[in-house]
Amino acid sequence: MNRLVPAAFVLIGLAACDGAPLGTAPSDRSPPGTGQDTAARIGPGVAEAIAAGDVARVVIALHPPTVIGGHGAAVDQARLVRGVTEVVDGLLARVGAEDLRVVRRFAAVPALAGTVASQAALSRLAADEAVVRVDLDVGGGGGLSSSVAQIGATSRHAEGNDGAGVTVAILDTGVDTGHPALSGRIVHEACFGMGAGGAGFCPGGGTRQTGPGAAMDDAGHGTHVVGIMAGSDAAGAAGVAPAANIVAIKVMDDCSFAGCFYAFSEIVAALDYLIENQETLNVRAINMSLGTGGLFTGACDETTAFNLAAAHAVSTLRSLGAVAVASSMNNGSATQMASPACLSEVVAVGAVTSADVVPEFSNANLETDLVAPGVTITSLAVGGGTRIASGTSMAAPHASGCAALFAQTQPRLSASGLATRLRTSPVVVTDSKNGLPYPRLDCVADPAPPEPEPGPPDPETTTRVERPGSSTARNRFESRLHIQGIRQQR
Amino acid sequence: MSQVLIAGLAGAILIAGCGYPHRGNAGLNPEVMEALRSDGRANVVVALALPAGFDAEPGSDRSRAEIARVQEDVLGAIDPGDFELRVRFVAVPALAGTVLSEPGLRALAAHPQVLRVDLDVEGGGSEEERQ
Repeated sequence: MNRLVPAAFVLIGLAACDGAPLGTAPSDRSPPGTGQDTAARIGPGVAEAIAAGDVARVVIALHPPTVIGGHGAAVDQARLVRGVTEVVDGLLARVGAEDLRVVRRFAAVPALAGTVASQAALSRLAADEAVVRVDLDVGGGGGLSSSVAQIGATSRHAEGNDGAGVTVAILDTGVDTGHPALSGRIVHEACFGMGAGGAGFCPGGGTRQTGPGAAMDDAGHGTHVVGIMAGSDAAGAAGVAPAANIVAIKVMDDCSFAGCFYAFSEIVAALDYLIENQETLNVRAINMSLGTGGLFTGACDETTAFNLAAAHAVSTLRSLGAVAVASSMNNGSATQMASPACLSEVVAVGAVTSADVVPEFSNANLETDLVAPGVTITSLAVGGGTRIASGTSMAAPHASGCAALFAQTQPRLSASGLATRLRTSPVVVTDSKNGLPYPRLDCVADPAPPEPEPGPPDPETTTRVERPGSSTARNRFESRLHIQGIRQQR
Repeated sequence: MSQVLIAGLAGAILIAGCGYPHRGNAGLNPEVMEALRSDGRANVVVALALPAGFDAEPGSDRSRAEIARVQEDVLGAIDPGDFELRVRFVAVPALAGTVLSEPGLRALAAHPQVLRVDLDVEGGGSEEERQ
């Protein structure tokens, strides 16, 4: 949970107060260009796909319209949609239907999906003033290779850093334990499954189950999430930490693909179980791609009894070496997140596209720690094979897997140190909904913070994140992370 | 009357001596009472306070023992007919269960070791769009 208050960035939002004209921010726009400027906007493989005689299926990231209110203000969705419409219409009027066949328009996301059939059309498209990037739309078959490479994990794999020897836990709908991409790495299973009306939804029919088969996935969400975090390349592309061991805990049923839980206390019970067994399991990262229906503004540790309990559990786990990671959830809020993402010692993760644009659905506020790939992610499906899904549920496991990579190379790094590493990135992305900057997950972020001596976690840590090539205040902020147990907070 | 005052003062001193901040019903979410009146029962999470100044390694045996002791104190003060225990956490100072009566809920919320009583809420995973 981020305690950063980047005043300088707030000015960005304030500068775009009510009454500001629609359209893209002048400072964000590059002039129409050709040659190197244009070429730099075209992602790998696009020109090659056209040269091979195919039409290239692409995603075009556009400069976002400046329709954001002041700091903490809710986004005017109508203005945002109107602004995106103007930007897209302007582009389509300039490039023409012969250059770009539109496959999909988004209501509030400044991007387009479409196909390009010629090199000339690609050049014209990339040279347009509204275009940030043109990349292959990897959703159709790009697998995890794109998002894992986006966060730098692929290069770590090449160095032998694949999460081997590190254990990660997942609280979700369970996992497909028979999936070949997870084979031999599920080291423990449990279920905390009180369903609607008190009936149990654990595979054995009860509300509690441990041992093999206890975390069988009957929905699909957990299998997809664990594939991102720790799937091997047996089903195509590898996940972020493809050799990590997995503790699978089922806490959601099959109400839908994404699953449901009916009592937050079951999430707390699962965390309590991890505390109880941490000496044996030695979990270093806990992924929770789930959240409450209700949202919270700011740090929520002391807002309710269930948040007090969860905050205590997460704080205890952190002191025992495990960092908790949660998805911010998908309500499109610019000021609120669900629990457990809103807890101060949970690393809260929002989503970003392959072009580093924060999608409209991704919740974010000052407590959001970072963003990670979460749009059209191909990962494991129950019964073998893969499927595509989008959401902050897909973003969080990128961070959890990344934590496993860090834990492998720095086994003595505390959980707070892991959290700091996750928040350290050379790439900063501004969320157009609230004007706030977020580090985009980068598993190769460097320089690394010094490895602490063994002992209790540091009482506070400072992280600086900068985007290369810029010294403006917008690209610089400090975050002071006050790490303290819930007992001290009472 | 004076005996009542003395007893009250003694109670307050006892509570202060134990190091628990007495919160009365301040930590009772009104939604719990509404749910109870509407459904005759309410699934809740009860957050408990460890004694002020209690300092033990989180997750340690000593910490777990103190949590168990506080849980026992609270459960011992509530009529079993008023509160049905569902989860007694090992390393988290909290309880989850079902409140079955208004007097039980008031007694629970008024207990000096109870920080908050809130509904045990639902939630889920999420998928933005299916491709």
